[in-house]
Amino acid sequence: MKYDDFDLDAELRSALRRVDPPPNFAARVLARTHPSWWERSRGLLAIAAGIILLMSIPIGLAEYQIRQRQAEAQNAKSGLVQALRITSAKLRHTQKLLRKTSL
Amino acid sequence: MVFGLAWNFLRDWSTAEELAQDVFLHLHQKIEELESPEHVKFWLRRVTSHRCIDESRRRKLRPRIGIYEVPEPSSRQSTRDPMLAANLQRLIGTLPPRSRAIVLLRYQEDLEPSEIAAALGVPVSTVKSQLHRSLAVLRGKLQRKSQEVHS
Repeated sequence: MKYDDFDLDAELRSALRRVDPPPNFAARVLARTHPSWWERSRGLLAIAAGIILLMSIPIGLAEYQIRQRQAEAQNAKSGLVQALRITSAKLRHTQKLLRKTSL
Repeated sequence: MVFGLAWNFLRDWSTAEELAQDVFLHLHQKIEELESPEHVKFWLRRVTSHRCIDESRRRKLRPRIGIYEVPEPSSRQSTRDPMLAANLQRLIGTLPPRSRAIVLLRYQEDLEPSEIAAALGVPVSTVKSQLHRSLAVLRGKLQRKSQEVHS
């Protein structure tokens, strides 16, 4: 390896010769110029998914509010039943006392 | 031309292929704006060179030649010293990206300095001075390497 006397221009031309692209290169480029159904529809599908998501948020919120109200109503009903039971017991007790005093 | 430029610039088989594919896809989108085959050729050289420079700056690539990345010998097999060619390829990879692009366009694509200047969008004087400096660097490094081996 002695590089003292060489034609750099010629050596560069030789070292930088063109290289052929890999096999099927053109086919791969062509495949990318004609995107598949999935690649073409990806944008539309993303928009559709976004719309569905946006629509599902208020629906879910309404559903939650209905369930919340139902739970509150159930609690109120239970409270009322309990209060009525207490009142009924007190009334019975008062009736008993009245009967005893009238006797 | 496109793949050869990318390969000689980046020395990375898969990156060169990806870059070349991207250039052709870009060409596919722009084809109606290009007026003649010469214009297409000029556009391809310009876009490939710029993308190679950008890619090199972005990834700070150094030449990497793996055993599986050495291309198959092309039909124009050289009869010159293969070790000298390999050393030159490695040393070209150490040049700054724009200087490397200038050397490639000059010696791979056989372009004149004015054509290189047009492709890269730089003044002709810049092309000439960078080419001159790059050749001096390559010659100096090769001679130093030769002296190291012989001493």
